[in-house]
Amino acid sequence: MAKQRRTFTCIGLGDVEISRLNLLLKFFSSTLDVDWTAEHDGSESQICMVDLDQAVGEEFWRTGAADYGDRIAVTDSIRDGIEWNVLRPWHRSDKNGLVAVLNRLAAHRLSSVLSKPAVVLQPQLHAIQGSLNLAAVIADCERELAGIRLRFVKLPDIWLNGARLTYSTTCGPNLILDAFRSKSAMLESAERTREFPAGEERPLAQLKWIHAISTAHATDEWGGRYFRLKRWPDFASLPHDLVHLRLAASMLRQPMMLGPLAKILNATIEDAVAFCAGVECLELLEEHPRDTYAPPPRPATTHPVVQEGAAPKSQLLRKVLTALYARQA
Amino acid sequence: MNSLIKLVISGTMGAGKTSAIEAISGIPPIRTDVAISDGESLRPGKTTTTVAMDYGELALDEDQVLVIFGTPGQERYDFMCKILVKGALGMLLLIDLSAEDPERDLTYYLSLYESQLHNTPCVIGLTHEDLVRNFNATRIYEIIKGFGLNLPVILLDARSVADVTTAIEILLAQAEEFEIREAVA
Repeated sequence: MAKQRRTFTCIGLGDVEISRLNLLLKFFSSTLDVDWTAEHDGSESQICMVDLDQAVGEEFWRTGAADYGDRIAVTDSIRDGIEWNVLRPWHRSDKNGLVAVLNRLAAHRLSSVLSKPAVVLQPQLHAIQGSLNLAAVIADCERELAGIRLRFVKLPDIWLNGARLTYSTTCGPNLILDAFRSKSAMLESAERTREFPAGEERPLAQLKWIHAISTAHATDEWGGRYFRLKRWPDFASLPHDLVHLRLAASMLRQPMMLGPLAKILNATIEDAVAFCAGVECLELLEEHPRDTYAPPPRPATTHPVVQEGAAPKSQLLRKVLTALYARQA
Repeated sequence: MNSLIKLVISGTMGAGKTSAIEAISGIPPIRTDVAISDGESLRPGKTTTTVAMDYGELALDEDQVLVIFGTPGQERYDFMCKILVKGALGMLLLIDLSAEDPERDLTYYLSLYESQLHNTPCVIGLTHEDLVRNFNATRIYEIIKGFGLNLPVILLDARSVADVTTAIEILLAQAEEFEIREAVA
């Protein structure tokens, strides 16, 4: 009898990792009860393979899973939106572990998970676990021009309007950013809606940006590659730090590698990665072949004086901003 | 002795230059508005225009004051704009999206300041977006690229202190970038 084919969703894995995983699955297919394929957006979207290095629900970290370090865990769906049911952590070198986990999923867990009424899953919508999958929900919302109501733990509800490419909520963008950054807000559910609250609508791009910069993690996939900004993001509508503006100014001029760029600007690699994740989700980031460009300039240890006898413009502008911040405080 | 540094806010008539100065000035701005009498394009409610230059100040410390100049919005005073922008810390160029032909306005101002924009930090603030149904952002970027520039563009409410502050933050980022480039050149 032909084996059943199923695909599962990988969250937090890059294309290369997914390809490797699929090769591994193919290699071990004879030992699996089901022919599994890993995809970015698999049909069994309630099953997620999560790279612990990237991000995973804070519950998982709290329970000590961080000790597993460089491992992959297979999780099943969240039934209450918060809890992570980790079936078994799997080390990349532990092939038998992976096989056991997948077989267990197929044999025992999958049917029970899928038979339960999906709290968070609507047709065509991604399963949502933690803030990590918010990007997928927004993508669904944009693609299907759908209206979606997001419920969070410790954050007011957010309504996405895919037709108008806007979102609305009762709290400000900086509060959302803080909540995502501190991982205090957990996405509980996403349901389709045709009703939207009255009040201010903000660009959906703003929410995408907030989510991207607050959940990005520095990983190898960003290393050794040259990135350039296509144009300036509309920072008036995007919560930002000064470091984002400095990164934007530099990356507009020439393609840069993030490590050297961070050094030049006295920024952290995490800042650079978060910024790139943000502009990537706004489709403003482009990668350039590494052999096309000369290496980026050496770090400047001090700011040079632009005009002889005068303070550099940056120093003066910083004073202007200090005065403005003081007035607004 | 007090040392003065300057910031220039330029752009089309009705784009919000005077409002932007009001938003950040530490003193009541000195305005040179007069009643509009020549039938230039107007927005309902806008009855005056700047004929010389608006002026605001922001004290930075005991010795230093930022002076903020708003250029006149009418083209016949453009000779003043070029003089004002010389030696400025940066420029905020405001384009009124609800005007008859904002693309033409942008092209005009980029031509006017072309020689200075390659080494003067500049932000383009698009205003009155709320009064426009369809605005073609791509076209705006194409025009800027046509001048060999890659200037920051933001949608801006000229009355908003936060928005004008963001514009100045971007000027700072550009200034730093110019300086780093110069240092490694």
